[in-house]
Amino acid sequence: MTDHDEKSVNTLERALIDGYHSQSRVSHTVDVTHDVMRTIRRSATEGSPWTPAAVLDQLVWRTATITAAVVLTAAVLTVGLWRPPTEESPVLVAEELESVPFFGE
Amino acid sequence: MSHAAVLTVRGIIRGIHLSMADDSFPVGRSSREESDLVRRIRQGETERFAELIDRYQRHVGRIVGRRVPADRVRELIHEVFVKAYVNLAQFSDSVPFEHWLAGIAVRTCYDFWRARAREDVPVSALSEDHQRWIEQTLSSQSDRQFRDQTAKQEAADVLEWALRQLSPENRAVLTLVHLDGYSVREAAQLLGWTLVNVKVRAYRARQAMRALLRHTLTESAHDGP
Repeated sequence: MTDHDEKSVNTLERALIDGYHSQSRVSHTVDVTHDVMRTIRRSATEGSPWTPAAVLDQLVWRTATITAAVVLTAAVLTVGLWRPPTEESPVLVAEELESVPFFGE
Repeated sequence: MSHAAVLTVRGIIRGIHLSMADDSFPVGRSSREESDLVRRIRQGETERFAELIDRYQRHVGRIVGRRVPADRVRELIHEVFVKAYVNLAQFSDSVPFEHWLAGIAVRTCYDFWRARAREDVPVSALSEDHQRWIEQTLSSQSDRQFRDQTAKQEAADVLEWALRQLSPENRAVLTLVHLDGYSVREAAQLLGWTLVNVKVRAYRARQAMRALLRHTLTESAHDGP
């Protein structure tokens, strides 16, 4: 790439930026007040703020929370049921103590 | 003090305007009157949200109008205000309402281009008119001639053509930093990204854009007479 080519790239880049600024002066005079308020009123009568994104977000989070709770409960129960006893039963220990004669007996 | 002077002083107190390409994103605290209005809306005076829409729809229109095709501007402005209403509880008085709203607008436009990218719409090649515009722009003999070229619709078309070939992330950052002239910090605030992420993307996005322009110039040189 020669200096001449780089100069052309710089010129074209500057032209695009200047073009962007001159186009930006065109303002978009759109009145959305009525439409937005109608959407908001509708959401208010339905009981919750409505947008597809909000509904989807709620659905995803609720599903994830319920799934996590179910998995956690199942994991705790499984571990609790299947874990081999690591301590001696108190009954067995008591029996063992009873069978050993006291010192001097 | 005249009414106009009072308004000017209030405007200065409301926020310090940073050196930016325009005054779309003043930085400062939300005014007491505005905070009060937002509080009332949150407490159930829903109809007063119309006052905020009336006040800021031109502001949102300026941001959205620069970022999405003209036929989608209205729909996206609508979406921005609905999102603002839904998330009003998250608004904090520490920033002006219009700055908070600008962030929603910028991210809504970014989401628009992310959705477009998923659709995988192919970008058509530059037309002969656009190729001719590039040649005429590069051969401009005076500043006036150059300015006339940049004011043409072809300038916007070629820029849009180039932006469509960038990733939505690069497009968002390049538009904010290199076209709108916002600082990396401001862009990071608006997008809700980290400073480092925006800084790296701003550099890469510009390199990608320049590589694209370089490739276009090389191709037109090969195709030329």
